[in-house]
Amino acid sequence: MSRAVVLVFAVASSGIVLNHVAKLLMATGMLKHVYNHAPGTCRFVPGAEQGSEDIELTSSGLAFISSGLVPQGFILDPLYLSYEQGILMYDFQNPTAGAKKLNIFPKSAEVEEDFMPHGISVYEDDHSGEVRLFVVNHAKGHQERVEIFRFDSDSNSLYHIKSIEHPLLYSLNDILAIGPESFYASNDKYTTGLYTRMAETWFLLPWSNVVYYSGGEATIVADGLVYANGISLSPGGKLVYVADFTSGVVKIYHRRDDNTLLFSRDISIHSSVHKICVDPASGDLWVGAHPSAFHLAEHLKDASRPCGSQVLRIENPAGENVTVTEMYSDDGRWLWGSSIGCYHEKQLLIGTINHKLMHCTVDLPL
Amino acid sequence: MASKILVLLVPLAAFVFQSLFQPRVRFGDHNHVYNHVPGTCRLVEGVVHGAEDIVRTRDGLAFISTGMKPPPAFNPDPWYLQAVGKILLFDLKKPEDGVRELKIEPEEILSEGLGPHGLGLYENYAGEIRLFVVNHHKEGDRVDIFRYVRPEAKLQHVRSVRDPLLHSVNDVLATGTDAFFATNDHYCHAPWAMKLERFLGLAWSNVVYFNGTTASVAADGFSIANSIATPPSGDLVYVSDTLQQHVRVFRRLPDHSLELQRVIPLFTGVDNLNICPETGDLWVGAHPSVSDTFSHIRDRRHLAPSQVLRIQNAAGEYPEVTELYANDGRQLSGSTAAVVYNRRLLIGTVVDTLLYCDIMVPM
Repeated sequence: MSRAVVLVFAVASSGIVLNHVAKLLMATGMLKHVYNHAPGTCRFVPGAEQGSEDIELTSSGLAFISSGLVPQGFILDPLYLSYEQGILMYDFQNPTAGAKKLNIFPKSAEVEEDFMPHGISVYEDDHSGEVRLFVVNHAKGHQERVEIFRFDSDSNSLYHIKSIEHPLLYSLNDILAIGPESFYASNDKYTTGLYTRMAETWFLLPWSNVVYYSGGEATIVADGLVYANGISLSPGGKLVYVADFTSGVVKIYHRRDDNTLLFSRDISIHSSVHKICVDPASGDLWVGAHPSAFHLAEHLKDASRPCGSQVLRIENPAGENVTVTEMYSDDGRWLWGSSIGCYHEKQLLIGTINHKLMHCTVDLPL
Repeated sequence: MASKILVLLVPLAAFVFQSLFQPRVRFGDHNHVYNHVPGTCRLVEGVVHGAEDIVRTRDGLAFISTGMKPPPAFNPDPWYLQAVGKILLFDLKKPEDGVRELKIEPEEILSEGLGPHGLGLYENYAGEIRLFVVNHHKEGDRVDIFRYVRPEAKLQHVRSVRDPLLHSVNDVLATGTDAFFATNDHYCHAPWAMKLERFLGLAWSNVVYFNGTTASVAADGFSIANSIATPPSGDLVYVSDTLQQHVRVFRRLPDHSLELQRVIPLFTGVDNLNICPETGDLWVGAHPSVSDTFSHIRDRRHLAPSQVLRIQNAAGEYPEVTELYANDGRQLSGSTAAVVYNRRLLIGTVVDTLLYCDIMVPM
């Protein structure tokens, strides 16, 4: 009798384990074979060799690029620790100039030594024309902060306005500016230690969330995500898109008048989706993804190991007929570890976590 | 006692798990297929019963085999059994003209039922064009050789080649006016045996050479030898193996047997091969999920993903593979073949339609 119970227990638990292993295999994309193709002619952009994890465009086609990220929660090749952090700028109208590092004022120890930028967001004031840049700052050795800068186009500089800290902003990844000092932010994990974060991933724990901050107050507006990563807004401001890296989906939320979020649906991407760029003209989502999170992890451990890249375009994300097209795919032949792709006037700018920045022409009809 | 059972059970369970899992991987169940095109694409009107193989002349005349009825072993959807076997022509210099059906002389060949599968093209500098057609004739597989008469757009039958060694023919590669290589995609004849042969991954499929008079085995040990192509130099022969998901590169020996040089892994159900006569690039039609293609043959509502790959430097040590087209089945199901001429692409399928694309990406 007891032998039967043990046997049943053994079969049931091995079923649960095997199911989890299968889920992990699919999530990490270990068995996937990646093919190569590009939408046009591609070349690397000079001046951005140490990562371009997030890219945001202004309405006039200027791209802000967050560079030098040392990602948390991964075993890392020491090479990445020597990277220089900063915000770069690329002008689609002036492509030969490459990517230029922006000066940050005032020059304080806080912002110079302590700066570890991650997700960024652009806020443009329609009346004053002021362009603000919100930056997630994993201030080294300090509590996570959100830095708000004002961009000065004459001097190509960022002027620091404010730092924001809050207990609910504890494991920040990306940010979405809604007002001059208000925003949504994704907390990608619940814990901050290396091994606890890894455990959260391996056990697929749904402890990641999205927070709304305004006027000193913050509330959790979406939770139960496994790994909330990129967060973006639809052109009309009514929908919020959140990339869940481990689940491989883009989550769509309706934005209520009080800025809380109501979950609408998931768009399955079957890849580890990273950051999202919304094309203001069409409302299309351009998503940077990693075809195999497993190979990405290997690349983070050893900088000489290639990993793949992928950029997808999602048309009609909120409608009946969502169309997903793969616009760029690379098995590691050229670009390693794409995290974002931004489309602008028949061109595509592809950023990576810690590799190069790529510019492609888009010769395909859209 | 319990430990003895475990000692038997564990390896048995491992074997069962492995044999259930491995064919799934070989048949491509696990891959998600993303959609992308090389430019604007449109379905070619008038092709509804497949375009299993396509070959083209140096000046862009494409011959297409259509109306192949899947054999009973595949439990085909009754819709496909209404198909009538034909050879179509598509001029890649004038894509707006679409396809036209070629007249065949004598008429009996069509009226007694043509079961066209793979095609081979022989073209010499005197302007003679011969089309070799794998014909699943009701009396047994044979290779029909036709002369293409350009002014009348007709195929004039020259001879039919039958041989005990040509029993499950898939594709044919013309090497002379009367000589060719052909692939036998299975070893077994009976439907149930062919199914088992596939599932167990038995590597008994082969390539046969016909010198104009007699046939001989040129290479064997394939899981499914599907298609066969040769670069303009003629010294190498490429053979695709669908279930082993690769292209084998052979050197052609003086006695026409094939010596394996290397393998180009493609990780997909490779179907037909075409060589670009100008660049030596290999154009590959493939099934990212062979099991979905089989399901599509059983039920036409079940979609099957499609894929076209381009292999540059196929003869060299480091071939470069680019994916030119991929679809989850909604635009095109079960792609088998691709030809390119002057930035124009034609993609054929087992039992469905024909897709024409203008290539806008750099090549």
